[in-house]
Amino acid sequence: MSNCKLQTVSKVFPMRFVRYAIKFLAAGATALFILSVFTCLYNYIPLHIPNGEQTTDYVWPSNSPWILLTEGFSWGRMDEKGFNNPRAIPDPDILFMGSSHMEAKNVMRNENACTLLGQALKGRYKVYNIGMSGHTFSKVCHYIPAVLRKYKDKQPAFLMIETSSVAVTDKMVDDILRDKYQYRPKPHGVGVKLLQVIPAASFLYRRWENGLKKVFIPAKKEAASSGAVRQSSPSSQNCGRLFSHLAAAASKNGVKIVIFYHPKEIFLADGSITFLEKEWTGAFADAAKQNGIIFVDMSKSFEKMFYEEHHSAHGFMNGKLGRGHLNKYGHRAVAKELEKVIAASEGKKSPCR
Amino acid sequence: MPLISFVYFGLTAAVFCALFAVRKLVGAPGRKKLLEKLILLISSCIFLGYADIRFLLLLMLLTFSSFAAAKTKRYGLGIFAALAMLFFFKYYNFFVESFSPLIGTDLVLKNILLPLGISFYTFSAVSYIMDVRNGKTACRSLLDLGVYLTFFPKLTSGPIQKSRSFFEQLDSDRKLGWLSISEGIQIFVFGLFKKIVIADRLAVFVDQVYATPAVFGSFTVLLAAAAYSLQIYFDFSGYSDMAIGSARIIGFKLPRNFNLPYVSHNVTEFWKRWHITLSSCLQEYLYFPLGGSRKGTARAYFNLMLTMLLCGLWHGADWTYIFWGGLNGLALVVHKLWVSVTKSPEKAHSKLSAFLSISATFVFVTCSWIFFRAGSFSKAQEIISRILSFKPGLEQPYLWFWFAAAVLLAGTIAAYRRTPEPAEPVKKHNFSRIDGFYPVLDLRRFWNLVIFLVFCGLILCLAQTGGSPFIYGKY
Repeated sequence: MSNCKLQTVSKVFPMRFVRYAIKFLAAGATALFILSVFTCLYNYIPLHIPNGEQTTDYVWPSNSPWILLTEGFSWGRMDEKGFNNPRAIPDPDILFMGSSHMEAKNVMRNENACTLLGQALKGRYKVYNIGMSGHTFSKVCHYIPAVLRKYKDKQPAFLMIETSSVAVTDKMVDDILRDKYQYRPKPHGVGVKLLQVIPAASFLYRRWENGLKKVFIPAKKEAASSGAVRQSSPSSQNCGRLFSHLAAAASKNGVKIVIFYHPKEIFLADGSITFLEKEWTGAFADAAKQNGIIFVDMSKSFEKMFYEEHHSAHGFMNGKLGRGHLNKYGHRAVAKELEKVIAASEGKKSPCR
Repeated sequence: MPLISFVYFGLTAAVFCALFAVRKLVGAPGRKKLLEKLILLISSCIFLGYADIRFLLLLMLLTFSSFAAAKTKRYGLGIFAALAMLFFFKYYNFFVESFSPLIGTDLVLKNILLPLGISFYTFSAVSYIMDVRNGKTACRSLLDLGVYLTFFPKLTSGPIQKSRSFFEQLDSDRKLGWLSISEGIQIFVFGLFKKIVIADRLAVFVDQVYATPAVFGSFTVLLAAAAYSLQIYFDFSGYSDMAIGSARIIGFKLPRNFNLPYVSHNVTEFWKRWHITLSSCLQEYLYFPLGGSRKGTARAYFNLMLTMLLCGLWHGADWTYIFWGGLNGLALVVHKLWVSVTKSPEKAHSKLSAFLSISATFVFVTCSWIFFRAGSFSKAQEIISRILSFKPGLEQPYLWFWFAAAVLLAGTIAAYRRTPEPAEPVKKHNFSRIDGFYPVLDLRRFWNLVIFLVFCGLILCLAQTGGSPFIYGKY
């Protein structure tokens, strides 16, 4: 480049701007490094990878660490299969399935229902948890046959299924019965992989997608239709169809299915407590009973805990009580109820192993 | 247009660029000033029109009426028109609900949309008319008045700037460039931190406890009451900082609105540190015209009470706000009586005494905020009785409350260390000498830039994503 051209460039972009831009970029990189250190101590979650065994959509990378101080306070390391257990167990007696509540990344491992149940049973049963975030009740139901196939050599005695909703709709049942659901993993682009290398960038990206965007780009006016639309009331017929399908698969493999339902709490102004979807629980429970599936409704237990011990089952001291994930009290209550179920079952017949 | 939005950031950046271009490209001073004013007026119209075009029309009407009143010297009529507008939009339903049965009229409630920032710009309009009447400012052109009343950074919730101070800046050659951007952005980001990290986090807890106090144990309800004291401070001072910051970017200096109010030794000092621009306007445009303290002690106390009752009413059309104002007025009267009896300002106080008086003031202010926040007397009563009953319930030692308290404490200590020793002997011992400041860094230095960027990143990491509107946005 000739001197003349250089002079023209420096007229358009004075050198001090160029120098400042370089300084700004260097400062940005340094800040990102410092923020990454902070993020590793505040909220570090790896990227999901597809589950080769196809018992869930995805798993965490083998032995990956996590730290979560954004909702509850917990940290730990996944097992070699990518689930939240101290170690992988190839032949569990009790297998837990469910969503992020069951994955229990918001509580320390020694506080989650799976560990507490294992402790309560004093080693008589091997307990394993394949709860995975994003795996709602319908998704879990879809995977039950695959899970039973995986453990065909040595089936678990109990299959514990966690759900926070009893809304079973026509479409949901149709999709499960016709085996319509298919997980299509979205390959992580180069950008996402690059973001993952920088923990701060990864965390900020997730925060941006999960609500920060709405802070800085607020919707001007809420659309009239954006109000919460409740699903159509689930009928006992839907539940019956679904449970007969699950029961058939379970009885073929000699597995007892236990569905435990932990409803969301609603605190009322008069100081009492009620639960979401209360009106639908009856149909769900009846259909489960008719098909030989054990249904555990945590409402009574949560109610007792609320009035007698003054604890809520969901929420943490850095969030809203009654909202979000199961906390240590919720997990403790779940473990207690499931222990009763197993004790009752043991009373009927001697344990198979 | 919400202050925390990319649209607002874009508007502020566009106004800065336009003003900067005018500054650089236009030579004639007269034309330069005219263009600057037009840019400010248009941008403010965009700001208000973005929320609702009807708000803009209303403000235009108020601008015309205030201009005409000042021009034709019909000051009383101008003030009446401004207040009538405020009354209709803000207090009509309250008036009908409260007094219609008493006076036997059959007025019906109307579905009235409360215009954005009406309390604030009505106050500005009244201040302009009174300043012209009292000869403190000259009668300005319609364009100048339009720029003053609509000035977008302060439009929604202040700070309320007195007209003479604004016009002085409008007429002068304001600083516009690196320094104004650097300072303005930092002050804005500081306010953003207060709002979306602290106030919004506290709002989650406060809203839940205030909605269902009977569910929670006494300690948690007490904590929520204290949390609201912090929430309203961080929310409103955060808003004010963002307004001051964005005004600074485009070359204007808005007055300070808060000066660490919770270090106040007494209620009188609290009102000199809390919502400073409102207190000063109330003093100048209401308390002094009523006679202030010139007409005897009893009259002074009456004037004080009346001013604070109207201050409560200004905040919201509800009896709880009036009660809150009355409570503060009563406290001010009691403090004045105390001072006249004990002559406490003249005596030096021990550190323990200072600590006790600061704590007592905080407790009083927190109690008064319960009425401000509760929305109804029955709810306020429920909150207070729940605190005093020591009943068990859910306990929530909300982590973000302790975080907010730690930030406030750290800020106070930093301000204390930075405040210089008074050069002259202290005359009033019952006032804190701590002076708040904005932590503005020289962003040309590398490590300062790193600190600033880390701070920005932390805001994004810790922000409450649910968001909640500014508390003072509804006034």
